[in-house]
Amino acid sequence: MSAEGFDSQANRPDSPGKSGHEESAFGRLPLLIEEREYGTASAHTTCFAYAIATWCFLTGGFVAELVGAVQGIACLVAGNLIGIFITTMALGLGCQRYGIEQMDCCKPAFGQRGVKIPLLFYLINMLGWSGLLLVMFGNGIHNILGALGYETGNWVVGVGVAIGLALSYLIVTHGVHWLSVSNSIITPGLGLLVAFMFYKLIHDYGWDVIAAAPPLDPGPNPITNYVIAIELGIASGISWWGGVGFLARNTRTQRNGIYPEIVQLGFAGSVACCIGLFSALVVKTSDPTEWMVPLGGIVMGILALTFVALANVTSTAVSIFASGLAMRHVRWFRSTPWWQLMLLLAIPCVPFAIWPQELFDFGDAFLAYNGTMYAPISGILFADYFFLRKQKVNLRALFESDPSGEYYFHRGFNWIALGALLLGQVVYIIMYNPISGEIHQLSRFVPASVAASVLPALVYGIGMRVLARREGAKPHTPISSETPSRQRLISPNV
Amino acid sequence: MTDQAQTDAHVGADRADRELLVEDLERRIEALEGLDDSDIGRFTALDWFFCVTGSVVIPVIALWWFAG
Repeated sequence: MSAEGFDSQANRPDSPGKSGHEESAFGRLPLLIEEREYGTASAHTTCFAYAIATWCFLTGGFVAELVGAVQGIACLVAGNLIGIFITTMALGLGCQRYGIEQMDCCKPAFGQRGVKIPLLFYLINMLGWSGLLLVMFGNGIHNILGALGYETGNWVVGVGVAIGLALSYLIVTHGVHWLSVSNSIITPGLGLLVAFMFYKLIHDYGWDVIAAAPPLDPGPNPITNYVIAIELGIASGISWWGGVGFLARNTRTQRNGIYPEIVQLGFAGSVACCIGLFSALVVKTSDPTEWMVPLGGIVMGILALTFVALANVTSTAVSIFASGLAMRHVRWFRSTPWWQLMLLLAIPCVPFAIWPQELFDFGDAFLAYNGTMYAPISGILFADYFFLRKQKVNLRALFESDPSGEYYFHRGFNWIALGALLLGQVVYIIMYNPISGEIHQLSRFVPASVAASVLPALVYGIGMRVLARREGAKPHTPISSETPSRQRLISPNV
Repeated sequence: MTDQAQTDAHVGADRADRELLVEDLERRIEALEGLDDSDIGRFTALDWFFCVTGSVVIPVIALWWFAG
């Protein structure tokens, strides 16, 4: 999210009398072309700012546990690009064309009420990442104290998580404008930090040492390790599902809705992940907060750690803030005071203060689980947007809650899409179980994320075709592409 | 002003805000539905070629290459 965006959002959540532009940019109204913020350069800059974040270090650290530097680069760069492709094409082009945000873009496939399922996944994704970043913040405090000579117990990490959560809550309820200020410092700072780490790695260790460093905690079978690392790379790309719609709807051309996401989120983001991979391999720990002192020395290390800790708090605030906006899709929460909504969203992060290390250890499984959640949704959206609707969506129907609306389906749910989504999740778990780490023989040839997006896409596409044929060519067939009627909305859902 | 009158005024203001919002939505829908491909820039077959090659074909080849 751009710094300018946060400036304008500062007063957004509870302020009555918002301008139409504010309501469209940060609410759900479709954005007109002239209101969109990003041209080519700003779309690339914003995507770059998104891409270079502290979770890149986490992803690199997870991959370092399984494979070495050379295979790790392949898994992270190639995997990220494949994941971004799966996620971006339908969502990016759809949101860009109509200026809508991603939950609305999901309605033609999932239905007015069915879209709550992707919304739930979105919240799990956002809050899960928030929890991991908060633990990283707590670990940072623990390690700063350690570097200063204070030996503390692990309880400090839990206290750190609680402090980080409280700070994030304060930011999203009282000082969202601080995000725009801190982001304008933190984003370029993180870019410099990544460059500094790369310089230190090459200068102090050299490529030969990095390339020869063994993985930190590999399983007995190298092929299985490689397959899982590929999966983590793809899942890392797919994890961007939550941000793709916001970025694309704010761009003025179709190309700007796609290329910056592939180049910056896919490629630049994976380069930052690779720096994390190298650091983890040479320092021999996957915890990013333990890299800074060995790489930079005491003074630089503590400065870098402090910086990373602050970046984690702002990233957490961004995630909680974005989750709050998404919650406005649910009628119950449309008029809930902002501070209550934020409090409600902060609660799921509390367990990270109680069991920080235990939950942090599930980080790689959580990363892979993003593939389980979003790969099937992405496949279904791809089939729906490109093959069934030929890139033509009935914009009016997206905002129509009346049962006569085209995307109301059966009681608000499109059961074919939901069935295909469930199938995708089952396929993923069979191919690769993120909790047990077991893989199916087939995943040596087809990554679990790819199978879990292609199969649901096929089932959904065929199912909808069969349903449409059975119902005939009525105006409200599930995949009608007729010109939308000009009648006024009966029950608008804004 | 009595409490009841204040509540009525608040509800009335909310309703008026909402009507404005829906009117704005209707206006936006009409404007966006009237957009032509040329207004938002085309995503051509060549763009698809670049995206598929750069994000799928080359990465898959790279993954296969480094598997060994």
